[in-house]
Amino acid sequence: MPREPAWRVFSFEFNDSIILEKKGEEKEAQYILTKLGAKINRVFMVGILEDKRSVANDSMIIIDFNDRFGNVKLMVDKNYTPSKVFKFFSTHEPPELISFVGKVRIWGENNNVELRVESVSSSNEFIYRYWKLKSLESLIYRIKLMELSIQRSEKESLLKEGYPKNLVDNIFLSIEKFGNIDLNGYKNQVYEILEIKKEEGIDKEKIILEIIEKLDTSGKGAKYEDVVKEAEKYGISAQEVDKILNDLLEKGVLYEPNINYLKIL
Amino acid sequence: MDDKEIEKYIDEIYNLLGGNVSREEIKKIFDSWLKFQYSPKTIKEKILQKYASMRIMKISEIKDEMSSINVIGKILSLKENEKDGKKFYLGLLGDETGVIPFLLPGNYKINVGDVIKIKNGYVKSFKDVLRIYVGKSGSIEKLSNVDIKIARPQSTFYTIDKLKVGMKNVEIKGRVINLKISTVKSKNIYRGVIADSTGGIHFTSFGLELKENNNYKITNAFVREYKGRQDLIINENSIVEQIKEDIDIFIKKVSMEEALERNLPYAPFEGILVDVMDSTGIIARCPKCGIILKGRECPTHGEVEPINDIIAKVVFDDGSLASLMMIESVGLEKLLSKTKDEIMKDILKTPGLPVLKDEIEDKILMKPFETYCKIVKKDSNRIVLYPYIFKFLVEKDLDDMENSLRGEL
Repeated sequence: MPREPAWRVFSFEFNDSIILEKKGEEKEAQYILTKLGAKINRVFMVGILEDKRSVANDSMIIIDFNDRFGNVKLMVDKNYTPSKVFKFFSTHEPPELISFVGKVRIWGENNNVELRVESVSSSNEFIYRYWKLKSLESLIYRIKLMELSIQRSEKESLLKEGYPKNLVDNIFLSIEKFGNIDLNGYKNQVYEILEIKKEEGIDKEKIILEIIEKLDTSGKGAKYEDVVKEAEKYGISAQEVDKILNDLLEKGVLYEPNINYLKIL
Repeated sequence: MDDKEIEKYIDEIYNLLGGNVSREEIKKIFDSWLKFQYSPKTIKEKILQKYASMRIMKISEIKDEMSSINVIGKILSLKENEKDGKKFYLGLLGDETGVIPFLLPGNYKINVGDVIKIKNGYVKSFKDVLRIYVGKSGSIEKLSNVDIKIARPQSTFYTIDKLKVGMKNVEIKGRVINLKISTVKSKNIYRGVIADSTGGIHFTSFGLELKENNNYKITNAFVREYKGRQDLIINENSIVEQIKEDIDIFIKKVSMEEALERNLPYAPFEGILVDVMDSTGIIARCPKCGIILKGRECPTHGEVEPINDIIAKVVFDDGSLASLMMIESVGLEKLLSKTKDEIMKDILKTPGLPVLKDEIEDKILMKPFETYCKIVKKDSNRIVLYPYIFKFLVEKDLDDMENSLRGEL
């Protein structure tokens, strides 16, 4: 069996996925299928180690990872993870920018999806930018292929044009599994990541600041969950809110007086 | 044929012979051939051949079996050889009308770029190619303060991806990305890989020197099949010129998935190392053939005294495939900025510990780079990479990547 490649993928796409049932074959890999046809067993991601906690008598560490567009859960296990990787998470404290390669793992009755980390290293903004651009490249390519697939409803012409068979098959599988796929949300994400402002676009940053001001009635700040809820009414997704909040925190427009609370400086 | 036309030919021959033979003499010979219905063109050739020793011939006029010819030309390539204790030169001579291979006695002091006059040479074809020889009755004279404009051999320019087995008179431009020099019977043979922006090809140069990382224009080469792969042959009939022109071998990177599908022998990739295997470290090689040994037994050379070497077995991932990459000592020296001896010393300092694996992980793991590799297909799903060049990405590469993405939108 060839080793599965590591997908360069954003958390918002990774989380917009379904688990693909295993066929019961020996040493079969576990996959998830995203709405844009990425059949993923392994990922390469760069982002912030936000939080970590030891469980199961310190034999396992659960990690909150944020790629600045959303969160994914990571785990390392003393028995299965390379000792160097386990040691990394035992000794490195959040927040830290990290790069990792991890494999999809499904666990629990609720079929929780997380990533078992195989390799990890401290990262930097250059590698983060590289990862972001490679993830964008892959995302844009699949948005275009998905658009063509929806228009044509047949694979043959796409294969003749040289699109890879595996990807074409998986895009059609996504169309079958997810039904109507709204590509506009993904396109908007691409524009936002590249900071391309659409002329008719609304000033989401301004809206978020107004929401925080409105919700901060006690002077202790606005609760994060309430901000997300309120922003949804303006058509701003949770991922977009996270991105805007991160930007505002970085710019020093906002600060966190307490965990989970946001206040305008 | 009327008299006027005959006069025209006689004038032409008279001028070509530099006035050394009288018009009357030329006319007499011309008429004697004309009686037997020979064409004026053939008669002209016959007269010129008869008086070959009296004139300087242009290379384009040279024909098989000619003798007593004089030629002035510039030495374009030169290789010293020896057979049965006799030294001789093989090379290429060019003038403004053409280029021709030569075999000259080794008792003259000549160099590439010299303009020489060959006196009393003769012509024979060797492997279907005309060649000038200088025998005992001939001589070579070096001319100083003379320069000659060279007519290039009639080669056709190809990008490397368009080369096919059987092509002759090929011209390419490329960068030597890998080079091994061996000596057979005191002759240097340069083997390696040359690449342009469209692909790479293995080459073998018999005697003409090439250096790694230099860019070259190679003219008059040919492509043959050797050990199941294309091989660009550069021999004494070829011209190798170093050029300053920038050749971007990474401009058309491919995905490993594409390389696998297209059966590419060499290709540029961009990606990251995601794993370093435990077997990374010191290995034993056969001192004769270089094969990696498990014990002292070489399958070809029997029991040998192995020599130590280092190798890193890593997993390279470009998002389309994850493949085993074998980085040999030369590559490790480039990646770690250390000599092989220094790397070896560090490993031996702490035997049993994965020193090299740790160092690669600390310095390179998940750091993006471009690499030009030899590709060996293992089966329909797998390839193994043997890298020649590494280039870590810099901000400008990311700016280009971003601009290209913006352009797509």
